[in-house]
Amino acid sequence: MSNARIQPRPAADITGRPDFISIKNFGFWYGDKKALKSMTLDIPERHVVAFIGPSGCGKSTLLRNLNRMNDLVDGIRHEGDIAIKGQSIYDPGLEVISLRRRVGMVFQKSNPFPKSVYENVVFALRVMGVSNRAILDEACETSLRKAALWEEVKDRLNDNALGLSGGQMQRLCIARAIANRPEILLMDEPCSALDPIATGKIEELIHELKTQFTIVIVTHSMQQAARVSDRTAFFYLGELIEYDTTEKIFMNPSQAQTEAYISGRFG
Amino acid sequence: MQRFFHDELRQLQDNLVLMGERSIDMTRLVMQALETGDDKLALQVRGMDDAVDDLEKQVDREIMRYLTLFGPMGSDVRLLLAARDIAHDLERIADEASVIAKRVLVISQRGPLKDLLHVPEEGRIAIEVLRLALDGFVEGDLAKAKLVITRDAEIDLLNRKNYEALFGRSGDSIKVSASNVELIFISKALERIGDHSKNISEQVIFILSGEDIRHAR
Ligand SMILES: Nc1ncnc2c1ncn2[C@@H]1O[C@H](COP(=O)(O)OP(=O)(O)OP(=O)(O)O)[C@@H](O)[C@H]1O
Ligand SMILES: [Mg+2]
Repeated sequence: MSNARIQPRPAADITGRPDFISIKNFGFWYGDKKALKSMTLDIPERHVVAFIGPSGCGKSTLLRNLNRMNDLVDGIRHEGDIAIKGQSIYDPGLEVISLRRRVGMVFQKSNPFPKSVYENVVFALRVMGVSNRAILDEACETSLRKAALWEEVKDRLNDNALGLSGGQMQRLCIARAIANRPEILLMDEPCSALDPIATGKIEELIHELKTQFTIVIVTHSMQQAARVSDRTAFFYLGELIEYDTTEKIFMNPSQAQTEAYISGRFG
Repeated sequence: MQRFFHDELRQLQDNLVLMGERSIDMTRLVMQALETGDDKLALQVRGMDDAVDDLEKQVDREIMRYLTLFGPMGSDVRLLLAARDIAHDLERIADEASVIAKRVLVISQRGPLKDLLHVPEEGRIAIEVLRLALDGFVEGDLAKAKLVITRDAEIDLLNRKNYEALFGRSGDSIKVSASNVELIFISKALERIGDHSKNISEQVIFILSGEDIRHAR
């Protein structure tokens, strides 16, 4: 009997730290409005976790809290804690700048600076004071390769980034985030403005990147969450309704509300 | 563009092929057990059934996972639907082989049969046709799949001949021992294996052409 063609299934179990990001009894207010009800969930290392749920349920709010982007909003308040590798992100000894370096962000609308492709990628390094051309060149190429964009732009590194296609700009923003050598990548609807081919490329990229980074992605596309994530969290009206493996959430969720949402019977 | 999840589709196909190889092995070994009166071999075949059952369940899980998570389209949908049927037919084949093994043991308890009628030949053709069906699936070969459907008639014919050798054309019993009845059951089981191979090939034709030729009249 020949079983030469049988390959072992890649291990689905967690190899890194299971509580890489640990969200504990975390609640959040914009002024008087409670946007997140107290919730607890762990995000494992080098996994992709998707946040899904109807508009306004708090997906972006929770995502932006992971690198304290919400600090920029007036009148915010939180309860509970968020820890990365066991250290609270609210630890007074932890600078917000260094937190944001470790936790990179890619937005819904790609937002390259009106500069060259090259300068976009090395932006963060320049801010940090790196000026050695060799180091910058190296970082630029590595990041663009990791973002699966190198082949498409290597001959136009000095062109203005605003001349790239939407999908290319989005990958450029991912390259820019990667150049900063973060541990965590947050993505808020990174494909909502892209066509299916560009979306497919970003999804392939996410699949590649999870070997090195822990990725949290907010998406309105349940198909996308199903395709790219290992775990999925379903939110409704600021509440975490269910959080489980993506397979469980989409094949046989425990909560009736999750079932209604994923099967399109919501509302 | 080849997407990362297409690997899972290949994995699923691999598991079907593995099921197919196991079913062929079981059929081949059980025929050998019958022809050589090897009880140990027959017992071994009975022990091989569980692995095929487990594979069927695994394939079903993989199909469900793929359908829910990866939004298949076009020929991938046909492959997934057909895979469920193919897995089921392969599980039935393994089951028939296991039933044959049981009958081989009964026959051997009663003392070996001198005349196995056309059963060894029927077995050889059943294995050939099953191999052809599996190759048709693996290679995506429409001609092989179609050949299975014509060759299945050879098995039907031998099964009928076995029956007639014992019961005559009219069906009146001539010289039937209890072991002969077991042999007829074996012949019938081989005929069903042929039917399952034919079902598999109909699914292969569906995958390749989108045409549903089941119950063609
Ligand atoms: N800067 C803000 N100030 C006040 N309220 C806000 C602010 N940002 C969000 N909210 C409110 O918090 C709740 C959650 O918003 P959030 O943006 O997190 O939802 P979402 O799930 O990301 O929705 P969408 O899918 O539409 O992006 C909403 O009721 C929203 O109106
Ligand atoms: Mg949002």
